[in-house]
Formats: sequence, C-alpha cells, structure tokens
Amino acid sequence: MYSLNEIEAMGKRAAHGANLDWGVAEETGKAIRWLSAHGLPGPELLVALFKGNENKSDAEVAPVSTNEIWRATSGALSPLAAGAALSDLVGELTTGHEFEFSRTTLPLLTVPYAAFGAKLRNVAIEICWLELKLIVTPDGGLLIEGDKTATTVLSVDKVCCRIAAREVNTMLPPEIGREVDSENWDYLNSLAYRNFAPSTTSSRQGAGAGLVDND
Amino acid sequence: MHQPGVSLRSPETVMRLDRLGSFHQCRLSFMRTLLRRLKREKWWFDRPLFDFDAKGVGTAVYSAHGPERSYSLVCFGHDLPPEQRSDRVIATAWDSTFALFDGIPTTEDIQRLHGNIPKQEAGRVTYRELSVSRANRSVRLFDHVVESLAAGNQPDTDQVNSIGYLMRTSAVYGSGKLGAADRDMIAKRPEFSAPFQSEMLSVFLTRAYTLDLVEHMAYLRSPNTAVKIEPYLRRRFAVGNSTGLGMAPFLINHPSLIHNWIAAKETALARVRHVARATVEERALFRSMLARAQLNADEWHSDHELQKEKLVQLKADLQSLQIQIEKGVLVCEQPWNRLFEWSEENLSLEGQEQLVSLMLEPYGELVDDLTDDMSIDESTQFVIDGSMSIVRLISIVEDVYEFALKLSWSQENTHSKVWYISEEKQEPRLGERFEEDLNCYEQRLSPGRDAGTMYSDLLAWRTKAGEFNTVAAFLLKYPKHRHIVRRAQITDRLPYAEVRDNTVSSSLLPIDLLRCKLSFFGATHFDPRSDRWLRINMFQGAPFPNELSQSEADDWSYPSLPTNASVSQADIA
Repeated sequence: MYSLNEIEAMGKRAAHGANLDWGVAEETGKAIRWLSAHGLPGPELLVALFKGNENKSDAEVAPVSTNEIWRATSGALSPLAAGAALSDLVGELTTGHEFEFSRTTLPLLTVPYAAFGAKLRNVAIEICWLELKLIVTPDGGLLIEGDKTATTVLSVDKVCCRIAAREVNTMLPPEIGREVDSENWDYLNSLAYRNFAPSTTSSRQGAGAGLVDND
Repeated sequence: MHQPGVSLRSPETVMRLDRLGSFHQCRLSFMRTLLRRLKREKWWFDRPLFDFDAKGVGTAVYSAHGPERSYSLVCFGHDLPPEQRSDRVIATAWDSTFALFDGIPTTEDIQRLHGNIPKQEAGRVTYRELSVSRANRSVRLFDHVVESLAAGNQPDTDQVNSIGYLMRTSAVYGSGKLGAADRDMIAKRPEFSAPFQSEMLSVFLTRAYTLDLVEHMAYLRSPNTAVKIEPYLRRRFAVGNSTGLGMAPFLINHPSLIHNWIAAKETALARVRHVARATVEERALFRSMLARAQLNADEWHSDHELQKEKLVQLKADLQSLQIQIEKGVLVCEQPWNRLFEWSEENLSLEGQEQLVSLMLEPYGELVDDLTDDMSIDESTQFVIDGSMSIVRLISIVEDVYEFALKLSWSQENTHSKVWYISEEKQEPRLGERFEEDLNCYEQRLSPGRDAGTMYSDLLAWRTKAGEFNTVAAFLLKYPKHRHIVRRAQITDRLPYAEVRDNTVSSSLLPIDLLRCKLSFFGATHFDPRSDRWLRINMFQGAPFPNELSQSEADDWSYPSLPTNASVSQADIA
C-alpha cells in the first residue's frame, strides 16, 4: 500500500522524468493522487499513458487551440495537456460554454483537472464520454453514472465537459492509499530515476553531517 | 487577522534570506504550541513497556492520552558499532529508531514495527503510523552520564550544557513517507491541526526515552550505587537534531504554508506594536525574558565563523537593548512600536529578530490564537487562474520578483549553484553549475530565475496577443511556465509565500533556509557546521511528560535565571 503522498511524489517525478515540464509534472502528481483517493487507477493509467506516448513530443499531443473543438496537431490529445487547459479555462464553463475534445487518450486522467477547476470556481462539473458521465464537485466529491466499464477506456473520439445540471451529493471518505503492483510502480520509478544525479564522492561532500559522527 | 494601526512588515523586508536566517523561536513555534495544548487539555502519559539490556538494546512504548485519542511512541534500542554511527541520510543503522503510532499498539503491532522501523527508509509502515524517526547517541555525553550515574554521581553540568543532548535525531519522517498516514488523515484532529504537531510529539516523547534509557543503563551497570539525574539538571537535556540540505527546499516547495507561518508571526508583531501602554507586569515579564535571552546567548556555542560573528553581535545587541529599557523607553505611548523602530535603526538582523520574539512573550493572550491560522490545505492554492489577464500577471511578476528582474542572469555568479537530487536516498543537494554536469538534473528551486525567464516571454506575448489576452492562452503556448505562474498567483494572494531573494547565487547560504524553518519548530542553539548543515537543540528546558501538569504552561524556552538573580525594576514607574 502506498500513501497518497507517495503516489503524488512519484507521479510528479515520473512525469518530469518523462520530459514533462515541472509545472505540468506537479499537476500530474496531484491528478493521480486525486484518482487514487477516489479509488481509481491513477498510477496505472499514467504508466499506460507514458508507454503509449513514449515517442511523441509535448507539442504533438497538446490542444492546438481551445476555441472550437480541442484537438492535437496529430493523433490523440494527451489527457494531461488537455486537463491542464481545462483547469485553466474552467471559468468559461460558468458562462454557459461547453468544451468538446476530439480524440483523447485515457480520458479518465482529465477528470482530476475538472475537479481542480470545480474547486477553484465552486461549481460542479460533468465530463462525459461514450455512455459514461462523471460529476465532480467543489468539495472534492465524485459521482459516476452510466457505463462504468468505459471509465478506463484507452482512447475515445469525443469528450464533453460542462457545468453539471443538478446538485449532487457525492462525498465519500477518501481512500487511505492505494495498492500499486510492482510492475507499474517500478516503471514509474524508472522514469523518476532519470531526475536523479548519480552519486559521486564529491556530491556527498558537504551535503550533511560527517560520515562518522562519534562525538 | 490583522490589527489596524500598525502595518505588517513588507514581504520585501521579511522574506530576505539574511533575515530569515536570523529568526528565533517564539510563542508561535510548534513545540510551544504543542506543550501549551497538552497542558491545557490535561493530557496524561504512561510507559506501558520498557525493556532494555545493559547495552541499551530493547523496546519501549511511551503513550500520550488526550481528551479524544491516544498516541504511542514505539522505541527500539540497538547496539550500534561506532564505525556505523553517522547522522548522514545515507546511514543504514542507528542507535535508536522510533515510530509514532496512532493509538495503543498491540503486541502484533510492535512485532510488525520491529521488522521495519530499525531499517528506516528500507522498511515500510502503514496508515497507523504517523511518523518514523531515528537518533544517534552523543557518545561523549551518553557514556559520561551513564558512568557518572552508575557511580552515584551527577553528570558534570558543564558537559551537559556544552553538548546539550544525549541523542540527536537525524530525520523525522511524517506526512505519508514510507507508507505512513498522510497529513490529510490527521489534519482535522484538533491536536494536529497546527503544523508539525505529530512530529513534535514524537520528539517530546523521544526526549523522555533518552533520559530514562541512560538512568536504566546506569542502574543495570551498578544497581547498588546508581542514582537518577536531579530534576533541575534533567531539564537541561534537549534532543539534538542534525539537519542538512534535505530540509532546505521545504520553504520553497510549500509557498502557501510558509506564508501562513510568516503572516501569523508578522501579525503577532503588529498586534504587540499596536499596544497603547505596557502594564507593570508586562514590562517586568519582558525584562525577565530579556535577561533569560542574554543567558541563552551566553550558553549558545558554535565553532562556525559566521555564527560566531552573529553571536557576538547578538550579545552586543541584547546589551544595547537592556540599556534602552533601563532608560525607561517602555514607559510611553505605543512603547513596543517605539522600541521596535529603534531596533531597526540600531540592531543587527540577529538582534532585531530576537527582539521580535521577545516582544511577543508578555502577550500570550493577544497572539497565541494566531497558531490556529498557521496550517493550510495547500490544494486550495494550487490551481492556476487561467482567466487572469496577461497585463495583470506582468504586474504581479514585476511586484513579487522585482529582486530577480534587477539581476543580471547572464553573469555566472548569479546562478552558479544548482539544486539537484542525488540517486542515493534521493536527497536534495547543491552543486556548482559551471563545474559539474548537473543542469539536466536541476530541481525547480529558483523562482527568481524562473520569473526572469518568463518575464521576457510575457512581454513578447503581450505585444503579440494583446494585454487582455489570458494566462490560459499564454500557458497553452508556454506550458513550461506553469510552475512559476502558479507561484506568482499564490504570492499575489499570499505575499509572504515567496522568498524574495536569489536561491541559486554563488553567495547562497542554505543554512538561512534551515534556520527559518527550525525557528518555527521552536529549535534553539543553531550551530552551523558548514554553510549547508547544522545542529540544533529541541525541547531544552521543557518539562518532561510526567511534569507537565505541575509546570508553568509555557515558561521553558529560555534558560531559567539563577535563583539569586533578580531583574532590575528600574523602568517600573
């Protein structure tokens, strides 16, 4: 069992190890923490995303524009890039706008970003794909309606996002942590390790106390 | 929470590294907050298990019982060969290891912890554990105390004073580390709502363990002659702590939390400066605390050149302060404000910040409530407001990062340091950018430089997209600036969130960051061993758990005056 803090820290470091900028990596850590706290597979989806997007640049999978339908330059939108833009633009939803994403990888990873925006603007937001609707509330709650088998779908052609039409009571006690299998955890760890400088004798010098402290 | 009449010091004044590196513990420090609560709520303590051999190998449990819940420090004593005794994070064995358990542990819990806690980072714990820590003996003092007590003598007071502790902790891991309970799980409990309360409880109980252990080992060595430490001397023992670079990034990584710490202290200062007149009792208490602070400065030893210089200055400052008081400056309108303004002109930063802490001492009723505002749910500050206009963001950057926009970032000494994480135990370190190949490992711990880089992109974007264009559009083009946009927006709301200084310059002293954080813990006797690690004392002078109900609530943070000393009453009108 990993604590939510461990999951967040791993998500952040792994995301930066996968060449995402630090600010984006910070949000990735928070996103997989949010999913894990709601009993959903945050770290596992991140592994699937990084394995699938291994050879793609950030610019390729980010939304080109958010004016009409959001789409990537080529192929599917990254849920991390689309999620960040969604969280930035959530104020527009409150004026009656709706957002539509074209083909998006692992859409569940966008949901925490909707939740961040919901908290910022104190509104409930619904996000839908296939026959599934998820509603996130400003108090951190989540309601899942419809075809739950679609929750962890690898890719969808359309995701919609709007202010939720009704009040929902969704509060559940958060999970205390999450079991993550060693294969997934080790993969994230291998990405995280790209951030760490190899230890050298000189790097140890002066970092802390003496090597032996018999005083 | 701000009191009208006297304004708060500006973040440009407070959030400089040299001033942060001169902070002293005060009434709002977390150790003091903890002990005030434990006493107020009549917590009681017991030691359901204490089983050690003559070498100090064994297990103990110390339990603290509050109005709603109990917590237990589970302690494991080990026989550590001297060649393995290292305070470095890369160590793999320690004299003693600890876990703070949520409740009363069963035999099975203790067995489970025994399989993991001695291994520290190589072990795993569960949500039932709130912290994991370890400590090494000060061999000189530990052996001296055991030998003295076994022979029926009290330990030498000078040795106790000069070393200060039997054991020093080298890490106290909380907040979900190694699988322990997340902060979120305990943050709503009143006893842990203030920052770092579970960690401070762990250290408070660790101190009792270190004293009980030496007395027990002395007894086993010579049951017929051994004595216990006299209560007056027992109080002099602290828990030591060795802290290095691992702690330094904390201040930068938790901007909204740091704002709340500093804002609470600055608000406390403003409230006291606003006091119209000081009563006879308040003046007398201040004079007594000033005398005790002088004693504290006399007992504060460091071999580090920088700190030695600061201590000389501090002692001189306290002397000048005493002369001012004897002149009667406290018998006037707004006496504290007047004294404070005098200090800004006449004292070093070390002396100014000592005065800030001392001025709060007589005013518990006026300032102690501010400890309720020192925590924060950081997630409430995390989300970027994409609807902000570009022109507004530019204005925030020009205000918050003015210090950085003035610097010449093309000069090597402006950014010659690089923060990175080493593979070994994944600890923060500080390297030389132009001597080592570390750029690709750099951590985001230089907000000033990040802001400078973003500023030129912002100006270009304004020209291209117009000043009413949004932050959201800017970030779609420049996702690399998300980190610094978030910080700038946080600091716009919470002005003490950002250190207003260059954290990668060639002249950076990481100990400044450490001292700021440790002063909020309530640590004393900062003793830098280099520019990047130091030792401190924790809970020195504090009552022990079993003494708490009979002791003054919050009168332990400065050493007691000798019983024959008296405070001059010169200023009492």
